Amino acid sequence: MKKNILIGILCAALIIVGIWAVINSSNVNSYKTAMEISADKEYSALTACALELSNTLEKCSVSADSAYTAESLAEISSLAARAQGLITGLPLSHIMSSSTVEYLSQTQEYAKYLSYRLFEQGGDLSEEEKKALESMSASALVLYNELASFAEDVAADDFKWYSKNKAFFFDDVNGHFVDGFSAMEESFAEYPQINYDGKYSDHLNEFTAKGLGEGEYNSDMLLEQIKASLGDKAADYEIKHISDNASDIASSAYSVSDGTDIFTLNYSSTGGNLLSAISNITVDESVLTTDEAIKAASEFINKLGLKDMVFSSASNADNITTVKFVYMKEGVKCLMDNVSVQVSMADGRILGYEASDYYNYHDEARTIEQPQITAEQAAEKVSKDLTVSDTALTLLQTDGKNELLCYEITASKEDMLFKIYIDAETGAERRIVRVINNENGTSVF
Amino acid sequence: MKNKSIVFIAALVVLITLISAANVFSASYIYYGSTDTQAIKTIQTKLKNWGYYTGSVDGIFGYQTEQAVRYFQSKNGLTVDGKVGNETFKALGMMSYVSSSSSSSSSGSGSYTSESDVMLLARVVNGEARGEPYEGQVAVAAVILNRVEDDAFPDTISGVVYQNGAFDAVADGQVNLTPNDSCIRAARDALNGWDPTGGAIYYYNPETATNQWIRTRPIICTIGNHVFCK
Repeated sequence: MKKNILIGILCAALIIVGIWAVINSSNVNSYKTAMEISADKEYSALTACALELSNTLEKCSVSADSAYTAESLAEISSLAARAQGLITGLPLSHIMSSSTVEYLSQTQEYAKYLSYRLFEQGGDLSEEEKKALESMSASALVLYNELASFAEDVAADDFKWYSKNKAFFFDDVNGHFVDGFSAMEESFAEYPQINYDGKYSDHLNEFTAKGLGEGEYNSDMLLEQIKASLGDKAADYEIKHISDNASDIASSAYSVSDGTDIFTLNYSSTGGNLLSAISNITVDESVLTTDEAIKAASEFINKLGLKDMVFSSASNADNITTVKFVYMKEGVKCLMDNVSVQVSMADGRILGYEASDYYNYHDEARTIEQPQITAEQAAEKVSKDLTVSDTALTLLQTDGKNELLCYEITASKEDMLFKIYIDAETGAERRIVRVINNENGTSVF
Repeated sequence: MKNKSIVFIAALVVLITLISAANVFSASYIYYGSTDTQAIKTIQTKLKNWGYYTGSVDGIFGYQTEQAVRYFQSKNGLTVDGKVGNETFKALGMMSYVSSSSSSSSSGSGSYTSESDVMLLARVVNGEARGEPYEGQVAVAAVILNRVEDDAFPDTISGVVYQNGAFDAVADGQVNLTPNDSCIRAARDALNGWDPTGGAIYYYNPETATNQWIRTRPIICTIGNHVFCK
């Protein structure tokens, strides 16, 4: 009797497992088909996009009309962005497509930069710019031809899927696709250098920090510097050198612990500047006002010796307020020379500090040109729907990390607040950000 | 002896079946027996303040808490199952616990990111580095943001996170788990500009990494169990 019950249980369990396996297998096949359809769709869209990109680049290179060229360039930027999105969505490894993605990213930004310039200033493209576009056009054709040559294989399901670290990639059975894609990647890796005032310009690869100062500090010297800054309290802390970092700003990292809380400090090897401080301290209550937090942050950066810094914004999350300051020179706010300080809203304790931007862009030798238009003229450039409340001269950073003197116009429309940046030389509108002030501080977007 | 073996195998088969079925219902829910004490305390506090719960705020999701959740769900037109999932989190005003499968893109200037970006970053940090020191958690979030700015990667946070094979936590589904407070704060710090790696776009665990290519990248620093590189 007992034996029959056990056999019954076993049979029932086997039936349940069998049913579960059939359902599961059916689901797996459905998922696989859906995944293949999705990949096919992306591949087809990418191939079509590459062809359109190539055609539009060719048309652009023979246009003699500034407005038409500008419009074509805007379309090229959009097509390159779309192609970039599609190729990074394919089940290919990042290593296999990174040079192609770099090419598409640079085409997107370069075309955007040229388009904007032609819309604003008119005129023609230079010979060098035309040559760069021709080179981009040739690369787009290489991309299209390569993708098109395998379109049939992809549609005919000649690809196999393989799993690596639980992610699925596709690969062709005979390896031709991988070989072809690799060859294409090599051609993109040898792409000529293009310099312009925009993201991904090749001149950005040569960028070095401007504000570090002088003197080289090894890890022992920096350790002594930390101890000196703590003074008599140094004995209360355990201070350890963690690592030397080969980042763009070479630095050394240290942990400073009082037995309960741990701070990680990062000092630049050149100049011995405190680049950042970070802690895992949590704050359970909010007692201070935002103004008190700003005051505490301001006192902290004064102690560090940073001069001429003015309050920029404050935002609160998890009972910690992050206060941002920017450098001001000759009445002009230099937005890129900024530092952030985290303040506990419970007791005003400093919990974090970040100054990489400041040391990257702060330039004592910087000269600021005189504006060519007045603040009143700049205010007249903004939309008539807005009510202007403030105007200030500001150094803005362009996408190519150049500095641009602008008037920052604070203006509102109903309950919406904006900051509009008007070029102090040409009067052109360079950037608009929306500002939201709420109980958590200020956010801009 | 033979009977014992049969019973053992039968029990094992049933157990495997039940575990397989249970996996379908895991993730992104807080329910009877869950161990996320911080989230449970928040749920209990809210339910207590609103009169749905009379027990103590102890971070234990027991019978009383489940009944209170059911009561709250029935009064608010939600599916009454006693589990706190996305809809119930939303109704409780616990937006940071709401799982999101998509995120909006960051603006071109990178000056603002939405709450869904914070949570997406936090979920990746949770999946990739929840056992790491806090600095290492910020570093993982910073790597994602550095990729957004790098021309070899997609130019949105969601594009980088969901790039095929980019993160193990996405491939194995851990990205869908509710992140803890530390991971959320790490995501916010990275979005506010903190980057302990100084510009890394890759990282790996030297003890477990099988990819030889990534070991050829120039190393910037090591934080916790992760090596960060360019």
